[in-house]
Amino acid sequence: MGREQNSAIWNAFREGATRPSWLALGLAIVTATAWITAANTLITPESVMDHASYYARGPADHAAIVTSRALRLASSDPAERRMIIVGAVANLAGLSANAAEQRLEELANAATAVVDLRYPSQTLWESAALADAAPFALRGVLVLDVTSDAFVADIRRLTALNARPRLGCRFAAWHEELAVAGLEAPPLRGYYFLDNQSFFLARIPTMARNLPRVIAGGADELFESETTTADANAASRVMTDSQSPITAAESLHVELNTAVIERIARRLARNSELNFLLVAEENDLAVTSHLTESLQSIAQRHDNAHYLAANLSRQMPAELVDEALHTVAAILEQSSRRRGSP
Amino acid sequence: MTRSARVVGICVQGLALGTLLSLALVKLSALANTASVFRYEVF
Repeated sequence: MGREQNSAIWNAFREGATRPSWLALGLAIVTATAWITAANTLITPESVMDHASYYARGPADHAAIVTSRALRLASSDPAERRMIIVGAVANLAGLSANAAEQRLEELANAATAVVDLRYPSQTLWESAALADAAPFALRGVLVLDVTSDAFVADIRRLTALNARPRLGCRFAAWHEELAVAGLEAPPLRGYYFLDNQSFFLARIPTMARNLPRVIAGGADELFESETTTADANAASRVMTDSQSPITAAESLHVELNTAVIERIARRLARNSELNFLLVAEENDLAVTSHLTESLQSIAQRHDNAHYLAANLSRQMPAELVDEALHTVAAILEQSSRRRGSP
Repeated sequence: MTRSARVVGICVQGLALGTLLSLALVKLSALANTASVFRYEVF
């Protein structure tokens, strides 16, 4: 093939690719329709539940993994007893789901599935939304792991999360929290992909990269593995600890955030048979003693709520985890006795 | 041969424009969603 012929072919290709034509326009419309239809058909809650690692950027993509777990929880059997843990992986950073399941079985003499929905810097609004993933009438305990870091979030943070949610699922509580804050939730269109588009659009390169592995039927090892977010969380705690207590106290939005916890307790009592265990940071800093009272009063006001003080300056993390599991087991036993069933 | 190359070019143009169009449509619907959010940022 001569150089002239090559050049003629290249020129013809370039002309076809660059000159506007009705055929290209028609093809563009067909392609756009096909992409949007395929995304809405293939990206479903079921596919996210079953193939978390396809959507996850890696083992540290906690938002994708927690989304998958929350969707699984939402479609789970409410008859099975569960311990659900939400929050920012703080006081109970050493807790792992598998070990907790085994320990709870020893302590409570009954199987209790542990669902870990924590990730670093989770706001209380996100915790409220994730707590709402619990199916109606579910039995068990919802544990909220909370430190003073969670009280730094303000309405601007919620506004940013509303514009670009980190999670790929929306539960009723999320919309309720936005409405309480005076924000308007994006309307639900009934198409999972479109309703959670920012989550999926941000992961297009990841999905393209992971496609061959999913087609080859690779195991969903990310979902099966236990993700602990202790390292990332430790980094955020070091940042907070370096602040002076006065500066930190000034940056807290106590009323705004305790109201969110209050609504979590109320929602749990209304929608499920879950007990609420608040594991709250307590230490000698003025900033946390200021919070303690308001958090304890939430536990006192609600029959389904319990309070556990977490003082990591006096307790080893493993001791605190064990104490929390003992408390969960006691709550489970107490509620079983009340119901007259194991 | 040149005719086939031109058709391939048109197909490439159509696929590329279609992909961009689908992304633009999805993004546009997101912009429509967040318009209400910006309204509340005023206070």
